[in-house]
Amino acid sequence: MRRLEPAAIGGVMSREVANFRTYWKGTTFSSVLEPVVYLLAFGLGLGATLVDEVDGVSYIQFVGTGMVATAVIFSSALPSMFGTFVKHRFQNTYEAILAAPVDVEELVTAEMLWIGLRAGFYGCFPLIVTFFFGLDPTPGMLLVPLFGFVTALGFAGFGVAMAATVAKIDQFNYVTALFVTPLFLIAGTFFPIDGLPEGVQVAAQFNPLHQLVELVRGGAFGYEAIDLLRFAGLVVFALVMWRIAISRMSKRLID
Amino acid sequence: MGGGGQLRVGQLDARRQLDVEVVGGIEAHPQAVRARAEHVPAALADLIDEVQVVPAHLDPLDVGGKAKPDHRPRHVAQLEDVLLGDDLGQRPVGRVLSRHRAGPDQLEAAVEPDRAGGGAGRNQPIEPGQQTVVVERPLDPRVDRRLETGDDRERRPRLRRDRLDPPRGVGAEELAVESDHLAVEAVQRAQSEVAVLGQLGEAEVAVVGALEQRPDRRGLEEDVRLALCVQFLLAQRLHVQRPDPALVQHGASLTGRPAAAGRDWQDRGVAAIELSGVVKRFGPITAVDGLDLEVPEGICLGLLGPNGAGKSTTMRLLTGQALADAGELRVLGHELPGESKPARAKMGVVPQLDNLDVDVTVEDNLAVYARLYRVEDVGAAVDRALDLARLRDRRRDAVDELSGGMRRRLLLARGLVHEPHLVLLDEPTVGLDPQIRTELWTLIGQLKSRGTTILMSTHYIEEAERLADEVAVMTHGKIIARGRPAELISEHAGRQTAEIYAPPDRLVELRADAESAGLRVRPAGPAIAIVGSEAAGDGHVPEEAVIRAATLEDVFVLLTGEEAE
Repeated sequence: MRRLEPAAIGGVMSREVANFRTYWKGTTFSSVLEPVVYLLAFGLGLGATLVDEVDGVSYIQFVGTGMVATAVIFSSALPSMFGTFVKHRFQNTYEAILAAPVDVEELVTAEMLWIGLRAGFYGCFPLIVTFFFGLDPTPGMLLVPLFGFVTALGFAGFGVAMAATVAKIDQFNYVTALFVTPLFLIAGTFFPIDGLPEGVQVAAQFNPLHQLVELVRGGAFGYEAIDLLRFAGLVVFALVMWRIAISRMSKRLID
Repeated sequence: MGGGGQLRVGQLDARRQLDVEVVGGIEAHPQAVRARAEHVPAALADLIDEVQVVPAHLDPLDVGGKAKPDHRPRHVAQLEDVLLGDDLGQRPVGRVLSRHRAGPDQLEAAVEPDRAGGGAGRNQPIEPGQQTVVVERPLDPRVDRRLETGDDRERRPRLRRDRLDPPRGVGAEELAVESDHLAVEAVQRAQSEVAVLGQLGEAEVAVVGALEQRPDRRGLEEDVRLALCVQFLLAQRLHVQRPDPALVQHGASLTGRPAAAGRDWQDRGVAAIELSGVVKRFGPITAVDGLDLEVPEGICLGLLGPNGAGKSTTMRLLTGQALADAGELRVLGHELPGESKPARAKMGVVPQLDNLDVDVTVEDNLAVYARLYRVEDVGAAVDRALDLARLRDRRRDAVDELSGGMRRRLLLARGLVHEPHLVLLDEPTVGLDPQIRTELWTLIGQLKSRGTTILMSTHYIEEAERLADEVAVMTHGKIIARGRPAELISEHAGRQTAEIYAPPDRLVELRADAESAGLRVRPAGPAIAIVGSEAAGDGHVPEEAVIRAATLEDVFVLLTGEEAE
């Protein structure tokens, strides 16, 4: 038997789809409303009083494009962390799935793929909302779902790995405070990172969200050669997280 | 819609009361049931003094008392349920019960093939001769007392099932198989009943004894008769307390025979599970300690042991969710852990804890697992599982909206959605109320009768006695005894157990006395139990002792120790 069988991965994803059908309305609602609120608050509030434009782009469009990354991390890392933990520890779902002809590797891959697809899709919402704030659609933006998907894969893997690591669900507070919030703030979403101290700027280069923000802005305002490298970086991030997630989860699930 | 249920009445004795029961292949549906009631042959209706139609979907023991109208004593209703069962494949739907004191001629005239169709669209045709049960039973308890001597076979309650004597020609073989199913059901019901109602009294033991002594191997009909005798006696409200192991064992050996497959369950071929020298350690704890276990195909093996004995770890080893530190594991011909995946594809697992997706509909829950198990026709598999769980009407409801019993049935059906060769049941009824438990036992019994191999871990002795063809007693990660329940009982506990209820001081005294006489004594809650009391000399078993048949519980406590870990 092959190591990653499409039937096994498809089966696990079909479970996610069946569940998603029961809660998609709420998710979609918040995915639309959140960027609207942020854009109104930051774009209109901050933009009208303190900042006019950044690097020649109106502040509201600057924030709108950057918020794709925010949407991606919040619809990948958090659902992955909590979802995995709950399915593993509280609902014993994985026990039932692994009793079927599905291995941990396939289970984790399927969960990551599903979250990746979902977050890639919802990641586009801020961009679409920004269209109503004067951003012009461009062909380059068609790649945004792909960027979102790859980044979300990485964060989904991160979430799975964290869920397999923490002992209690409360410990996600540490994960959020230590990783999620800093990554989301130092991504260049709300302010450009060039104003930050040099050390932080270097660190930000290793932030996948920052790379995503740059890629989305590339899509909106014109790609540069370095964007290829950024994308390659995201692919590496996703691959590394995938393997880490599988190894952490195997330790958890197989005695 | 058409077809005719058929009533057939055997030798009729006007001095006896006769119950005629009609079972049709109509699904439980209020309209359908009404239709049936209307189509009781008119001539018969004149003779009967009571007609009762009860939808079959009501719980078999009618514990909730939902089977209205019920004008008759509860025990009669119970007897019928035992007889008719609720075969999932072809569900009896309701029953018409009549009592009369007419002579044979009158009744013969009255009872014709019932060609009337039901009204509702859900009705299914009734196959001629199928699922028709005619029971003749004596009324006078004194007559039954004679059963104790075993010399009055004629007066035994008699069951005639038409399909034991199927019409000649096409389909006869199928009919015979069907009737086996029905009989298996009847016996299973009888067992459930006995356990729920309590222990067997002397008279029942005598009936069992009389039948056991028959020189030839008892056939299916005889088994059913046995079950019926017991049922009947129970219905006579004899003093009863606990299931008799002989009956339970007897029923188990019957139900272990996979009628549909036409296979003798004792004809053992390949083992479905072979474990040898399996060791599994968790740090300093050795959960499974050199386990040897072989489960032949087609049997139900009960893995019985106290908490912490290593039962769950064994289950996890079989699904590849735990990796053995030593030993060899082979499941359905596949070496574990290397070939765990193909083994899992042919294996169904019903977990101890409900892990259904609660927000998702019943059918989607099943469909997901049909896909996970790579069933080709997912739709058909879901329909099959819905029928098994009797949840066709609830298919679009979220699991959250189901009752506890429905959820458990769904959980079981989910594990069977791919029609596995081997089913692992991990404490299938732990923490469930008696109704739901009985319901699950019925389902598991059906699974057995289809010839599916079952490995069931449990710490409920009753469950093992009821369902298992063989029991393996596990403690400290090893199997310490194995055999059929009756064999284990006679080997380890003897025939009788004497239970003595007395103040603690007196118990200590009595225990010391019995032990000094070489008897084995175990605590039994507020009492002590002298196991194998039939071997006791005079004076060691006090007069106030209650003598009962030895049970698997005696074996269990003797073998696994008195103290809970």
